[in-house]
Amino acid sequence: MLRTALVISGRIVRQRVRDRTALIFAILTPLGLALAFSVLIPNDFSSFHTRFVVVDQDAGPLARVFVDDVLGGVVAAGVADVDTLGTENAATEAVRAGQASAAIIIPAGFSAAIQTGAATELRILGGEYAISLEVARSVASRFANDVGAVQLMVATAFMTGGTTDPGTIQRAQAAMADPSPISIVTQATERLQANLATFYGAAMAIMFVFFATQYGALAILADRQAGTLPRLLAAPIAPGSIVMGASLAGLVLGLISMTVLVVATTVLQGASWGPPVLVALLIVAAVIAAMGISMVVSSLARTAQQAGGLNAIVAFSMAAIGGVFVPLSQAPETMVGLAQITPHAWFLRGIDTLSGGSPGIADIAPSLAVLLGMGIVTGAIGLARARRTLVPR
Amino acid sequence: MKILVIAWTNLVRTLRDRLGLFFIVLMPMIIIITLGITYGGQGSVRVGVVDADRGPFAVELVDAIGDVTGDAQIEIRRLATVDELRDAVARGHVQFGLSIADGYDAALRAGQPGDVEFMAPPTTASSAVQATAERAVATQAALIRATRFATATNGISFDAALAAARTARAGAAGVSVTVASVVTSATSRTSGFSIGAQSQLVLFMFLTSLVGAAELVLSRQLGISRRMLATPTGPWTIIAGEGLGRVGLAVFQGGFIVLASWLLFQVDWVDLGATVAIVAIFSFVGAGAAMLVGTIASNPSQAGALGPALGLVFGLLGGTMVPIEVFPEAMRTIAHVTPHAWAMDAFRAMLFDDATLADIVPQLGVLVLFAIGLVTLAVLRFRQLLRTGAI
Repeated sequence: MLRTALVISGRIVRQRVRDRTALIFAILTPLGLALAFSVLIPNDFSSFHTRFVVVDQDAGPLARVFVDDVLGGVVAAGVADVDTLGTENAATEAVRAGQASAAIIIPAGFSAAIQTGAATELRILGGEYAISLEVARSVASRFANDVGAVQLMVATAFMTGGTTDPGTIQRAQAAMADPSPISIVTQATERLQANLATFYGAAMAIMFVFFATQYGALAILADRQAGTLPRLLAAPIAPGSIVMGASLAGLVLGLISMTVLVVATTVLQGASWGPPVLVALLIVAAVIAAMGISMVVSSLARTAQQAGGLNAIVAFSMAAIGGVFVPLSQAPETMVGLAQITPHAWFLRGIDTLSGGSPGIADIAPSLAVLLGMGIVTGAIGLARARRTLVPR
Repeated sequence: MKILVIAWTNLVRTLRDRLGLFFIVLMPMIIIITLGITYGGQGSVRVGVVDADRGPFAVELVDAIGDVTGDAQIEIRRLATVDELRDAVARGHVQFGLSIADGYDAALRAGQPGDVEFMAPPTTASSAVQATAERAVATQAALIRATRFATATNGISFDAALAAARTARAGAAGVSVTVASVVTSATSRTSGFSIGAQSQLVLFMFLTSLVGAAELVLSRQLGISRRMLATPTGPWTIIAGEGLGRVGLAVFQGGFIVLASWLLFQVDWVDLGATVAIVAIFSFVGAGAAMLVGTIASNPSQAGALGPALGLVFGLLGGTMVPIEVFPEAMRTIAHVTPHAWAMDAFRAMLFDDATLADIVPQLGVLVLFAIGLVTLAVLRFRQLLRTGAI
């Protein structure tokens, strides 16, 4: 029985490898798209850098603290470049022309006002970049807050029955030297996101693998249409070996398609998939899931053409919600939830995990388990239905 | 009249096919929705929060971070455990993580330090969000400092001092931060749905036309064209009929996308006349390309593979999958060998620069040339096939 199954699957695989349509859909199109995407989108989604300009009309000590220490810190953090301009008009022009995302104006009398407890302001002129503007506002507000803290302490003490004598102000200033009542611990986390070249390689591989795995089930339907299936069944061949042969062919074609993509994207565009053994495990699990789903989908159709169409619909729809076109990390929460029903999301999650420091099999175990589970459940249903179609009508 | 009959038969044959209908109607809508939801929220950053304390100070801190007043929106996503938060940060689902330990509120009231934890992946995007979180913490810290100072100075209760500090903060002269915008362009129009819908319109009208190229080969293979030729029907009528069928399909799809996206997602098509002109001319471009592929391919499966592949590659190159702005300079020039880039240029001019029909005449002119060129080539090839009896 196994021998027969192998012969049958060998025939299907050979037929498809020679077929130019299969080659285009399962390998060339995804490879071309992966290449094109990673060439055309050079920038990383997660990088942020902007340019501010500052106009210091005050030139007092506190203005200098703001420019040197506060804005200096922003520059040191790699968030923004800061240029100093002479006039507000020049700054406005720079923002309008898009040379800077925001301008911060320190008005004349700024330092004096703070020292005497009078009102003053930091003015921010923003352009079209909302996030950059927000950064500028946060930086300015934090400074305003710090200088306002002493004033707030004195004012509160005064309101609750104290005095505003120099002693109180001195004690308030001294209290500022105490550690902040809220202590912040900043923890750097690992980054578990594949780079873009790898992401698009993986996304296209999982989207188009359905076009490879479908050929197993399509072969049975085509045989039935052509009338070769009843003849096969008339021969001393167990129906089980026909189904087994067809599924085996689907698996092999799926593995070929994905493996070629992994190798090609690694060589051609420098994708870094991760440890080969773990990548291989994820690919096998993904192909099994895709195989099972194409078996069920194909079993709903009566002709090979219909099955091909249905498979394309299912493959594209699941790709759209599974985070193939847009990384799920960029997607809204509801879509992330919905995506969990697709093998695409779990496969891409596994590939993301492999980009971490030293991934082990335990790290990708959830992805493997879900993919295999999807494959086994849908595969069982698909096989049962496929066997029924073998009964000659 | 015969032309219309041939065209109509063609159209009906495609629309009866459920797969065809999927690609014409559903697929573009799915993509528009996906892109719309995703990029509609652009300009917003996501902060993951684990609030194990849930006391008033903890709630106030989280609200302060989420309550950004500018155009940038901060979306707070609540997570149950610190482990989940760490995973969400590492995978980029949130750009920044904030964890407030249990006992935060009590510690602040008791004069102890309250602990918050920031989680940031090694990206610069997170440092931008971190500035916002630090500001919220600094604001609350200043309030606590003032409360503790007043409590220590005047020997009053924490709550009385806190109330006074809040009042004092509201009336404090201090340093205010004002924000003004110096640009006046109508960028609000470019909602995520708009630009998504424009590119999908261009991408799918062309793609569907090319997928339909297989139909044309089918007509040839089934011998329909040959039999039509046997009737008193000239070759020009057949060519025009087949071509018009393709154009009708593209117009139908284009119209559907424009109408549905306008009704469902309020996509602003800016200038209806200009949009209609682009759709109409681009339909001829798609039909011409489809007829060319249909006459060059020798069997339906060849056309079936070549058509979609060309449609996808041209779509990508022409800036309908990713905006042309992110292309390197040289690629932007190369992109203009595709009709897609010209159609997108026209849409962008309307969206960003308030262009009207008169302003986009140059782009429309180029598209007309594309249409004339493609249709001419296809017709020449079709006539050749008819003459040599290859049909």
